[in-house]
Amino acid sequence: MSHPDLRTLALLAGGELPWWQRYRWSFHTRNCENCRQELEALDESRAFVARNTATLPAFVDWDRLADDMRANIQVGLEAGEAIRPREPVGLRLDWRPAVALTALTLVVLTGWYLNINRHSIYRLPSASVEAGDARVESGSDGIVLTRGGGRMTVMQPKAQAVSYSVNSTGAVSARTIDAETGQVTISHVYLD
Amino acid sequence: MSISTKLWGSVLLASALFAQTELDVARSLKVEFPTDAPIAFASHDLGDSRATPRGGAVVVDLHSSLMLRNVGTQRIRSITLLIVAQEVTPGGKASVSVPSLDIATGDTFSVRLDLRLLRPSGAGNAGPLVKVTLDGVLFDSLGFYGPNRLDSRRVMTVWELEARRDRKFFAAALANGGIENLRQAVVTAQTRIDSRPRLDVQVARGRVTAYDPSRSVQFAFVKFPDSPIESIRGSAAVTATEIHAPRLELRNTSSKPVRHVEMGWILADSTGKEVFASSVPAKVNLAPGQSGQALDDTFLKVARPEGRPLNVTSMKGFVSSVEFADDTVWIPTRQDLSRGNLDSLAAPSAEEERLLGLYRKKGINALVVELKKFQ
Repeated sequence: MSHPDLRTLALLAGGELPWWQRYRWSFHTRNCENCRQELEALDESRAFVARNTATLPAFVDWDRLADDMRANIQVGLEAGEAIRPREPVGLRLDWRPAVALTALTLVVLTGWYLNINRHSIYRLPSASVEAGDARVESGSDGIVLTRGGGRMTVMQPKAQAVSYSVNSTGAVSARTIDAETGQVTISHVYLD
Repeated sequence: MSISTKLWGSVLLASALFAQTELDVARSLKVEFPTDAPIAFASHDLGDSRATPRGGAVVVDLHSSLMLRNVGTQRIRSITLLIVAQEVTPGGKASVSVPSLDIATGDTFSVRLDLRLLRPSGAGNAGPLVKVTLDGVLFDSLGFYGPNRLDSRRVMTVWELEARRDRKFFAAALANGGIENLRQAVVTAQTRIDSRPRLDVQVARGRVTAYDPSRSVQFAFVKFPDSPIESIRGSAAVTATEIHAPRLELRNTSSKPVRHVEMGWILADSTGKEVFASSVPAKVNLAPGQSGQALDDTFLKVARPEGRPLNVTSMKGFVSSVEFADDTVWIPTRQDLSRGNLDSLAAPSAEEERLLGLYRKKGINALVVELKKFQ
């Protein structure tokens, strides 16, 4: 015959066993003298605790205790408020829109910078030569020769620094230096 | 005219325009080098070249990178390619030069060509629009190969001598005071170039038009101790905005016949501010000790970049290069140029700009390596 352990008896005394175990061990304790005495001892202990914790001791003033607790909580809140960093008074913006706006601005500015025709901002001194209906001149794209309804442009890379010059024999020159390779290229366009 | 006739006319016009856009861009460019040239044309890439109709014309954008190989026996220092677009601009020509090279035998290098051609739609397309040929190659021995139609030999020899002079200057700065001294020389040169005043310059040749009442202004000359040409006197007619018909009297003080002289032309306004205006090349044939005149029918119209007139009050000239009959060339030293403050006015050499660019891009150590490469 098996006997319930002390933990099972404590749960049985508190009425916390599942119903089939409660039925089984209740039947057992009715027929087992030792287990029944253990169960009765546990019932008495539970009843004693319940009796002695049902009312507060006479020396405990609950209202005063509650006032003390509220006062302590208030003091804690005020102390926390005193040491918290002050936030500026006014409109509080979340940081996310500011970051998104900054990133968008950077994208727009970068695109503008990469695609801009620099000659339109940093105007280069112009150079030109003309004779009759023919003309050679420096322009925003390079050196342009116009003659007889046709036009030929020796183009200069926009990303490179260009310096133009002219000589009296009728040629306009452009000098560029490749930023990557360092190669110097000098273009001439001649009037004749 | 019926509506259907107009419709068919529109379709035919659109077809004609479409046919123009079908211009064979690859056949628009022809590169032709002599078979005995020290440079061989290896290949070219037409990249995003294209032809597009624009009104009654066609715009041809040619973007090409020519790959060239040194098949000669000497190192190449400069090359000049002649570009002719006879069908587009009759008589017009252009050139693309690459100075400051150091191409050993068997090495390849690239020359970039970016051209835009605008020609009437009705023009035929019998041959290539652009022909690229070799005008000259300059070797490290200062020897030359090429037809020299553009006077490339003289021009490239001047570039090479300027390159050697300026490399020597920076190498001396390094040798005399180390890297910090070189850095100081580079910064000084860059500051000088950045502060160089500029002008808008329009040149009109052979023009005879009415102009403002002018006065004759005498040239002052900056003389160099070892110059083979002495500038005796010179003058030009000057108005508020134009200078025309400069006349120069020169004497050959060397022992060799002189074939060509190039003068730098500096203008000053009433406040004394000076600015480099132009170079005046003059073909002369001066025997040793002989004097002669260099005349030019050029009109020079000058203005400051912001559009204000310069109001020229005085002019200064200096000899920037001399070519002798034996194909040798003389150029002033850096000391000559700094003595007359000319280095702050005239354009720097291509090599000086290249070396300063190398310093800006890669730093002082890269510049030191580059200078030692040529020693």
